[in-house]
Amino acid sequence: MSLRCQFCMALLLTAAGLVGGCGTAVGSGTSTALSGDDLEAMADQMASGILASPEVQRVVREQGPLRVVVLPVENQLTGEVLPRGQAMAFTASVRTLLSRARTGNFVWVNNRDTFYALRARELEGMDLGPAPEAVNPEWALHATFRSLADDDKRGRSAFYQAVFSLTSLDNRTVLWTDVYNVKKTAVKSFLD
Amino acid sequence: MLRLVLKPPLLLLVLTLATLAGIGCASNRNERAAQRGVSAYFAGRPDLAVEILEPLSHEPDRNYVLNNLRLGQAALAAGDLVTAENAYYRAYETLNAAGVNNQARTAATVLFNERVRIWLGEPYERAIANLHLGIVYYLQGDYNNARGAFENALFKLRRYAGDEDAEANYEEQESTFAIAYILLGRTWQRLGREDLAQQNFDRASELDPSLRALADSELHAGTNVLLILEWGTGPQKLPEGSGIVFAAASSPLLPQPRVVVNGRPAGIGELAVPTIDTHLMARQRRWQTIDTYRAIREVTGKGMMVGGVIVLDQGMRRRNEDTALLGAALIGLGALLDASSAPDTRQWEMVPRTIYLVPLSLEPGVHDIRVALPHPYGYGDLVQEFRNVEVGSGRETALYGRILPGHAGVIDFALPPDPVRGP
Repeated sequence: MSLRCQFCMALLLTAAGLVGGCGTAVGSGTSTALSGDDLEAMADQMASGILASPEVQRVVREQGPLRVVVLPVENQLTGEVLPRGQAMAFTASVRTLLSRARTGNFVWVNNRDTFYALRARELEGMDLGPAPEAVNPEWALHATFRSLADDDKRGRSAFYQAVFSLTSLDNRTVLWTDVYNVKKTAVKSFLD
Repeated sequence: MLRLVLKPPLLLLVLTLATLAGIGCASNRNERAAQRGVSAYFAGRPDLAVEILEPLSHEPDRNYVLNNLRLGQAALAAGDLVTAENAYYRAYETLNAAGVNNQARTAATVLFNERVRIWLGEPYERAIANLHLGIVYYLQGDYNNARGAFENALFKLRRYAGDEDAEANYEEQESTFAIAYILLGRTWQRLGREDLAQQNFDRASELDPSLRALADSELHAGTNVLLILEWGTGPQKLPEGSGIVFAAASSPLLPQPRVVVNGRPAGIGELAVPTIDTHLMARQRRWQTIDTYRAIREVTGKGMMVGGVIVLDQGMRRRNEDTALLGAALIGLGALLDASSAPDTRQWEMVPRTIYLVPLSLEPGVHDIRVALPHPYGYGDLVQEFRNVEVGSGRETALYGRILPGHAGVIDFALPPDPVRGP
C-alpha cells in the first residue's frame, strides 16, 4: 500500500472520529410521534371542516357566534404516552389555530385546567385566549387520539386517527365530527 | 526530529489520537459526575442522586438516555414523581426514535470505539424504562398514559425477537416480562375495560404460570391498594475478551416479601411472588451484531500492529524513512484499534433485580404498611414503611418502594413533602 493510500485511510479514520463526536442524542433520529406540522394540518382541516358544515352554519345563523370550550385531548394511543403538559399545550395550540380563522362565528376558549396550568407555566408566545370565567361556553370541542402501532426488528410504524367532535354541553348532541388520519414510519438503523 | 513529527502518517496518528481523546474528555467529566449520582443512590440517598443527575440529564451527549434513566430511577425512589416522569419521558422519546445514532456515529462506532455511540440500552433496560414510566403514571392515577407505557414496554422486547418464527420469539421474550401484562390488565380495569383487562391477565398466566394467582381479574377488581416493590440489583455487564458477559446473581433464589398492615401480617401468600428476574432477561440479550465488529476490530488492530512491525523493520533495514514511519503509524493505529475493541459496558446500574406487585384490599381510612425483604447479601432485613396511607373509597391507592440497603425506607404521608428529600 502506497504512502498516499495510507494517508487517505488515516484521513478517513480521523474524519470518522471527528464526525462521530457530532450529532446529539436529541438532534438526530426519526420519530413516529405526532409533530407540530401534523397538529397544524389537523387544525387547518378542522377549521375548514367546521366552517363548511351546513349544520354548524345553521346553528350560527339561529344562535349567533358559538362559544366553544376546547376540552383536553383524550389519549387512546397504542403504546404511546401523551404527557399532561404536552396534551394541554396541544389543546391550547388547537384553540389558537382555530381562532386564526377570524370569521366571527366562534369564540374558542380553553378549558379551565388547561388555561390555568398554562398560565402558571407562563409560556411565552402561547395565546391562551379569553379566561374560562369570561365566557359561558355552550359547546365543547373534544379530541380523541387513537393509534395502531407496531414496533419490531425493522422499525416502528403508527397509524394515527384523531377524532374531533363538536358537542352541545346542554343536550350532548353532536353538531359536527371529523377524522384526521396520518401514518408514520421510522425505519430502524443498525445501532437502534 | 521536527521533520519526523511533521510526516503525514505520524501527524495523522497524533491527530486521530487527539480527536479520540477530545471526544472522551468532556464526556468523562460528566460520567464521573454521573457515577457520583449512582453511588449516592446505592448509599441510600436517592434525593442526593437526583440533585447530581438532574443537570446531566439535559446534556444531549452519548449518555443522554442513560443519565435520564438514572435520574428517573433515583427520583422515583425519592418519591419525586414529576422529575421521574420528565426524565423517563425524555429517555422514552429517544428510545422510540429510529436512527438516533446517525451514519457518522455508526461508522465511528464500528471503526473506532463503540463507546462513541449514543447509549440506548439492552432490550431488558428499554423494557424496564418503559415499565417505570408506566408505573410513574399509574402512581399519579394517569391510567391512559400508564397503559401506553406498559404497551410500549412489551414493544421494546419484541423489537429484538428473531426473524425466524417471530410469534414464538415474541413469546419467549415476553415470558420473562409477564408483569407488563398484569399491570396492563389492572390499568384497563381502572379505565373500565374489563374485557381487555381479562385478555391481559390471561396472557400473563399463559406466559408465566407461576403468576397465575396474581394475574386474577377478580383479585385486582376487588383490591384498592397496590404495592409496587422493587428489590435487589440488576445484572452487571462485564467485559470478557472482545465480548460481554453478565455477572452471576448473588443467589439464584428470589425472596418473598413480608407485608404487615397496621401491625398485622397481610394474608398475601402466593401473591407476593417475584414477577421478573432482570438477570434472566439480560441473558436473552439479542443485540449482538456489534460483537462481530468488535472482534473484527480487535483482529484488524493486532494484524496492523504485526504488519507495522514488519514494515518498520524493512524501513530501518533499507534506511527508508518513509517506510519506517509508515510502519510506526501502522503500529500506532493498530494499537488504537486493538485498544478500542474493548466492549461498551455502560449500563443502567439501578435496574432492580425483581419487582413485586402486592394488591391489598383495605378499608377506607388511614393505614400503616410495613414491608420487609432480606438484604441481597444476607445482612438481615431491609424494611420499607408507608405510614399514614390514606385509602379512600372508590379510588385506587398505589404505592412504590425501592428497597435499598442504607435507604431510610420510611414514607410518611402525614408529613408535608420535604422540598429537599421528597415525601
